Amino acid sequence: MFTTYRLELPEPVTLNKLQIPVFTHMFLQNVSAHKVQVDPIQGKRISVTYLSSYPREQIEREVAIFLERFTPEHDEASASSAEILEPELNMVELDEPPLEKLCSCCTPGNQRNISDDLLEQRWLTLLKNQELAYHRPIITLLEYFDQSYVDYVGRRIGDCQQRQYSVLLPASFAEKMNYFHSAPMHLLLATHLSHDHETMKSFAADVSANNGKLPQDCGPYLETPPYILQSAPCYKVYMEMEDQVFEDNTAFVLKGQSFRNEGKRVYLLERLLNFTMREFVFLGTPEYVTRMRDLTLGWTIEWMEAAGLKGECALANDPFFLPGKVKQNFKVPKHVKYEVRADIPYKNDTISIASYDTHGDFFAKTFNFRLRDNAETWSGCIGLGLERVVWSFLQQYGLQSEHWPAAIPESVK
Amino acid sequence: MSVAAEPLVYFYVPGYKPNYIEYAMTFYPMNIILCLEDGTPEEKKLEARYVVKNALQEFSSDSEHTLIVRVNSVHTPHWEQDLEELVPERPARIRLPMVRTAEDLRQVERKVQDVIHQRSLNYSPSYEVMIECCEAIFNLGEIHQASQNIYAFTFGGTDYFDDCVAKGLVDPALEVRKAKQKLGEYCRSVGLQCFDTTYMAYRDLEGFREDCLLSREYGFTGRSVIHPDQVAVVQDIYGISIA
Repeated sequence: MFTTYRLELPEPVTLNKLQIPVFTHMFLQNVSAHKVQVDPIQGKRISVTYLSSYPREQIEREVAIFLERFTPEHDEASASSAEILEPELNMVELDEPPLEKLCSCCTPGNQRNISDDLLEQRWLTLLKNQELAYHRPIITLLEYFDQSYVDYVGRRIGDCQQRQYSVLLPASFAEKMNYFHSAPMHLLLATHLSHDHETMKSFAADVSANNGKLPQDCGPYLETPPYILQSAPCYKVYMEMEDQVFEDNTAFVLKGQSFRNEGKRVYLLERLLNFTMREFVFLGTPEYVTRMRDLTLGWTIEWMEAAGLKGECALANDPFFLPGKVKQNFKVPKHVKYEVRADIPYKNDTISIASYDTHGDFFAKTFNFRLRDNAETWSGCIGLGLERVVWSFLQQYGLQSEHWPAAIPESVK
Repeated sequence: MSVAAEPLVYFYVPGYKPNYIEYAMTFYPMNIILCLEDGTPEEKKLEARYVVKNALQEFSSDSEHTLIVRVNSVHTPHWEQDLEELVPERPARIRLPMVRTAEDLRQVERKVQDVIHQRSLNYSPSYEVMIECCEAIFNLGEIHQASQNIYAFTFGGTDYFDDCVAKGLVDPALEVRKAKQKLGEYCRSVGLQCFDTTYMAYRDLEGFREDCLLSREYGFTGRSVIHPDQVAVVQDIYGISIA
């Protein structure tokens, strides 16, 4: 059913421990492979597993194109051509978080994939069009992990301003931060019919003629989308802070929905079109934002260990806010994003359940907010994907609550 | 061009986890120990035999990885079934845990020869004999004389420590060091390879490095590992890196 072949990475590419998860993530986004594994010792060899029915030549072509783009020579060439068009980001070297220490060494008791069990025991129901219904056990776990995370991390952060926003992000706001350049493939738009009476009548007539179905081409009837569905709740904090001057380092806490057009990659709680995110956002001095990065990553790992979740922290790619083409200079750290990854034992893999992004002064400059006495204002945020926490927990311990760690209260079991 | 694994690093993989085996096969040339003993829980022994058997078939043409099977000890009810199922797949070597006496080793060899004759196999196995208790250290010379097919001696630190505790010895950690020293010296004197025990605190690479340096002084020529991060340390200390 599956075929595996090995190949060497082209010179001079050698992947270190931090780069391997980034490489595999990008690889699977670009190549129609089922799995890719990198030799963790030398970081030079990869094993590609793909569906045997898929043409080998096609896979090899996709791999070759990906590797060509991945090699530094190519990056340098494209970077230099981009330089002509756009000024470069002003990269700032920061101390790395202590990644070696950031691991939660628990012992999960389940090795089986629990996907079928979730459906058979009706913890989840599959609806049409990739939609899901969460039943009580899943809802309880989502609520429990959210509250325990807020209790554990929020209490240590101290004073946090609470916020709640809608899921709609004004398109004009997104345009201002060049959002549409950064990840258009994940974009979900929210629009409505044109307010013009004739257009509405024409639309209704078209629907009637089409037996109640939407017209094949809706474009002529629709307004240019005034909103997008937010890909992270924290954007609204920067929107709220636009043109504000604030006195001191400030933390916000919020929960909201995130929307990502994942296309056919949607898979139960592991990858969803929209999911729930708990976020802490930090605005203040570069030192504060960087310190909160190290602290919140550490606390997140401690929280995982307390809950029995096995995982670790790693350097990540795809900073969610950075546009491909920037219009001005920003101070941005060299490594923007760190992920907390939880083990998925049955496939000897991990998934990202949380990430900390250090934005540098990108949002502060773009939306003109700043500290009163400080010339330089940075922002950063940590977001926890609650569905993925529940997914990784159940993959690590199974559905039988008597096998769950003792730390999980009886009221949740 | 494929490169054979050097006799330095021995990577343990639990026999009942096919995905771990598959992962280990992505490593550069390596000796991989498919473990049916401590790495496999009691209720998974049957499943592990099946998985390991399939792995040996699937990767039989892989010349870069040396596949070694650690069977269960002769003091358990599993060892005969292990050998009946796995000898026909002709693993590169068989690692034998908890060999206490020369007779333990002879018993295994007889069983292996029976399987070879019954199935008319063209196979000459060699053994990695694990020294894991005080009795075995005492009987070391006799155990060595019991078979012409010993490839190496290996040390099992955790079980040796437990044996010392069970015997009420005052300082089990010291006893372990003395045993390792004795085993290392013996192997050096007879020109036999000798592999050290696993180091479970795999994130403590500094501690592991120090332990490897000491072990090399004792006479050990390679080491078993449980995590990819430990590989470079072993290559660095016991031999020339394959990088």
